[in-house]
Amino acid sequence: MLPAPLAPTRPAFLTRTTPVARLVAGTAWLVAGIVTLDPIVPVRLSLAAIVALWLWSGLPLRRIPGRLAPLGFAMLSLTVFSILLSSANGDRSLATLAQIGPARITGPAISAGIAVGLRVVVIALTTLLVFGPSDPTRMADSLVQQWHVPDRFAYGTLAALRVAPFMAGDWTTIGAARRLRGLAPRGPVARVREAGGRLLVMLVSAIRRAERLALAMDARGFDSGVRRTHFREFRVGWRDWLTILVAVAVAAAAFFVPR
Amino acid sequence: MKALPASRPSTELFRWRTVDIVVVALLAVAFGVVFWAWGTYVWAWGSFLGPQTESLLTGVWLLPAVVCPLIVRRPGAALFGELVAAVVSALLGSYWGLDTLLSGLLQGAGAEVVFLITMYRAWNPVIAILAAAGAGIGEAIHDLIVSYPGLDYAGRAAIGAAEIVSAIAIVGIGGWFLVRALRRTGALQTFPSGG
Amino acid sequence: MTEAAVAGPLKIAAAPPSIEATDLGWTYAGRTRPAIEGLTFRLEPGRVLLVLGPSGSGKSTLARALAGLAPHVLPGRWQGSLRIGELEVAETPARLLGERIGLVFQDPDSQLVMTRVDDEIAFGLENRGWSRPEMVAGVPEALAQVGLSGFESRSTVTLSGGEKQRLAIADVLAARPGLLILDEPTANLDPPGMHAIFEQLAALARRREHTIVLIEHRLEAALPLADDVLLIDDEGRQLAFAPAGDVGRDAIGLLERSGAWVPRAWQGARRADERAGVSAVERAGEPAASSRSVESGALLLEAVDIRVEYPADESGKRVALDGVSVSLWAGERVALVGPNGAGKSSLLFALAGLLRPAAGTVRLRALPRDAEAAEPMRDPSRLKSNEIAARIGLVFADPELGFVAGTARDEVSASARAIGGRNGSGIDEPDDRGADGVLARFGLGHLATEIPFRLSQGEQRRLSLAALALRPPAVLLLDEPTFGLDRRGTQAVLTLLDDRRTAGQAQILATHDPRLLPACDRVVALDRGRVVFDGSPDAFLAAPPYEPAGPWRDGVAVRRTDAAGRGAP
Ligand SMILES: Nc1ncnc2c1ncn2[C@@H]1O[C@H](COP(=O)(O)OP(=O)(O)OP(=O)(O)O)[C@@H](O)[C@H]1O
Ligand SMILES: Nc1ncnc2c1ncn2[C@@H]1O[C@H](COP(=O)(O)OP(=O)(O)OP(=O)(O)O)[C@@H](O)[C@H]1O
Ligand SMILES: [Mg+2]
Ligand SMILES: [Mg+2]
Repeated sequence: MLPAPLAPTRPAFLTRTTPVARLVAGTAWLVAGIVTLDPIVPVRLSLAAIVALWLWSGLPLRRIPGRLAPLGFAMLSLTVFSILLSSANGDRSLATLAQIGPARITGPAISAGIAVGLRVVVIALTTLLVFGPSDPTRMADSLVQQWHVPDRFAYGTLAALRVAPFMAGDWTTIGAARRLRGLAPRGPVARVREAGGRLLVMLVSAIRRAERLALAMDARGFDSGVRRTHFREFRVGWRDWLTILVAVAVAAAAFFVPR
Repeated sequence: MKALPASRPSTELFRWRTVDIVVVALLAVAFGVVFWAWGTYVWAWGSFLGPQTESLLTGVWLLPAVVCPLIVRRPGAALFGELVAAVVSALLGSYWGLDTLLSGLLQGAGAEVVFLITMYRAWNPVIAILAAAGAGIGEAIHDLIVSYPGLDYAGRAAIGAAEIVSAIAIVGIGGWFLVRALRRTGALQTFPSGG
Repeated sequence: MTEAAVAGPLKIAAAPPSIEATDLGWTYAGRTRPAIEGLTFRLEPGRVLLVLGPSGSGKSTLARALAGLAPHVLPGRWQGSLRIGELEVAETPARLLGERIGLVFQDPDSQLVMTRVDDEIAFGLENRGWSRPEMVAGVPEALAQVGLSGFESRSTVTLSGGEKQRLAIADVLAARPGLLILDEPTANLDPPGMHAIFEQLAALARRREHTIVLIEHRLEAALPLADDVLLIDDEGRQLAFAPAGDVGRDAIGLLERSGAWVPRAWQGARRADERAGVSAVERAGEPAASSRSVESGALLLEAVDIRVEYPADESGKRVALDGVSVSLWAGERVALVGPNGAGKSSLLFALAGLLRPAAGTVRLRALPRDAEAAEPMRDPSRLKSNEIAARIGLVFADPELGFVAGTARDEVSASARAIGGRNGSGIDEPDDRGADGVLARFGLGHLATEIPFRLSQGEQRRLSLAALALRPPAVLLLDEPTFGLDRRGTQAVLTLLDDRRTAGQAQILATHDPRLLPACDRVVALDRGRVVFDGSPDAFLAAPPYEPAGPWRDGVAVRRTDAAGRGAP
């Protein structure tokens, strides 16, 4: 079950910013979120991200919790193991808070573990803020225009993204074909083997698709060596600078302001 | 009336043809979906067995770094494949979000270095395994800094070792057999690897 | 920047060029036989050339050569000379060719690049270095030319097949090429979609602003548009190059050799010179009418009031079929027709038990000979894989996705092995001689050890049928079995199906091609997920339940009248 794409439902401040500006802004939060083991930083950043999503992203808020739900799991396991295996537990000068079998748990270990778990939340929310407000096409346009990412690679990838959904249909069809040929697997070993065969056919079909698409792109001058122009131009404007400025300021505040 | 010499538009090593780009990108997108599913459905369960066990599952994230170059045999294929796959899994909503770009970069670079050392001339199972190990080292560097910063040294060493072992098994050996199976279907005929 | 300045955007349309081929040949790298060979013709500027030839004869290859993809993108060996206007293709950089030439392919889904319609059109213009104001003006203009004005902000994913293909034509027209090449632009479109494309082509041809090369099996639609015709044979060699007016009735023998569909109205002329040793089926331009009566067999498969839904993204479920009931009796062949997206493929999947309906039931009789027995009919989705394989076969629209084996021979024996080996019903393990016999019957004998994925499109389609031949199922479902096949290929498929039907097999054939209807016993027509007609082909063709009905009845016939009159240079 692939998650449905999350697209803005209304115009908002961030939908009018340049994708790469959001990328820079998001990176600031990401860095601030992962360089420290103090849980207060990710907590502050998460709150800021929620406010930004709510007020400026244009994304449908109702769908965000469902989208992030699978993260709970990773968060939990990262937290638990970071606590259990923390190097702080070996520090004899620290007080023992709990003793689970041979494992001794200290206060700093717990706070660091929580910080590591909360990072997941910061990262997920920030990613939504960066990619959510515009689609991949605009991201590619912006990467090419602002950062001079090689355009054949950017648009080649975009073309691949367009045909990729067909692969899901192929996967179903391949399975159906095998069932009707009497070759559906029975037992775990057969199941793994058949999944391998199915995967192979799907990859073959994907390569065929890519070849046809590439030929069509070349027929439209994609590899002609002419310098490409841009139908949709992105210019970095005041909104972008403001976004970056505010994001960096928030990151710094989250990091340096004492509790 | 004249017969031109058989044309070979594809022989320049550094000149990626459109078909090279699109094939790597499409495979990488597929891997990106696999990453997302693996992270959401497999790794998340595996992670409850502890970091070292969990690290044995990380090899899957390195598949593009070896499979893509083995197919198109062009410089940068490991990096490009890993980056695109990382972007896709981030777009789908993986736990690591933007951070996957960073790990993708390190993983791709790890494999790329190995292919670069061979000057993109050798494409045998040994190189595949070395490249996988390279990607695994890139992955380990990332994870030890970003995911497990609080761990003691023994714990970190075990995790690093587990990730490299996983890379060699899943990507070096598994990836090699995958490309061989693809070649046998005749699907790689337009690539240098298809011959 | 320097490059763009050199190339310069073309503000005015490139003048239509002439095409001059002299002993033109092309051999794909890795092949020993040339795909095309010795083509020699001259097409005057602004004329429309129709290229005819059997499947695999090299029509698409010629299109690729004209567009410069061979030799500039595809590896292989070039021979002879091909001049477009003053440019020698093999010696002109792809960039210069790309400014003058536009190529439209068969499958719209593999030629659209972007997700928004205006981005899609602009893609080709950006590649050619157009300036922004030129693109802003050019995009709506190109859309208007194919009747898609106002579609700028639509997503290309939500377009119908016909709209996608018109968009692909607009993509190419936007760059104002002097030479426009269309390679079977209507192959998987419903009749109205096809009709719309041919109307656009007729309008283009009338304007005479482009030299046009059209590859198309549908003679009745394409010939009225053509000024000249190029016929190619199986081996990729030129059979004839002549003005369109001289082909037609007088050259039926030639047309038949080229594998083209010959319009029914012309066949009188052909009958006059009956040749000995040619079967009636081969002589006729269209499949022989079915000779069977409907109620002879037993009920094999039925769907009662089924509803099929797909999970959709935002707006709830997408309903593909709603309240559909269909019955299938032993020994009958049913045509399943309907517009793109009507639900034909979904119905085949539901009947085969691959999609479980959200409401209603699908029931399947075990085997035709059990018809009289008291055995209850069963839900096919609950049968085990080997049980269902013995009863239902499905040939997919894309045969490649169904392949399970490494060689053509193993492909043929694979399911027979699975069925025979497991239900212990006393059927011998099929030996290789059995498989080879089947391959030979399907004209694939020489390919027994080939990898299925390496076969040509037509060969793959035949192999997918051959794979069901060793243990023919009681019910055969076929999704677009003649897609992209010429008359000869279609005829070959129908002949194979006839044998099975005589033995009691029931067949459903989902198709867009009205020419197949007379070869079926019954027509079931779908529209937006509902059955809108269930009756005889004659009744369907007399009054197709669609609006407008014309394209469904007559196929496609577009009149072209231009000031200069047809045939003028
Ligand atoms: N990319 C390719 N590499 C190698 N051989 C090819 C390639 N494309 C086509 N061929 C071969 O060249 C010959 C001519 O193929 P082509 O596609 O031009 O036929 P066609 O007349 O367009 O057929 P159809 O009506 O089925 O589209 C066939 O034998 C085919 O197998
Ligand atoms: N896997 C799927 N997921 C979601 N919607 C689907 C899926 N497959 C088909 N549909 C939708 O169901 C409807 C019926 O599609 P179906 O493929 O059965 O039509 P069809 O009659 O076979 O069309 P065509 O003539 O183009 O092959 C369409 O609206 C289609 O978009
Ligand atoms: Mg063709
Ligand atoms: Mg269909």
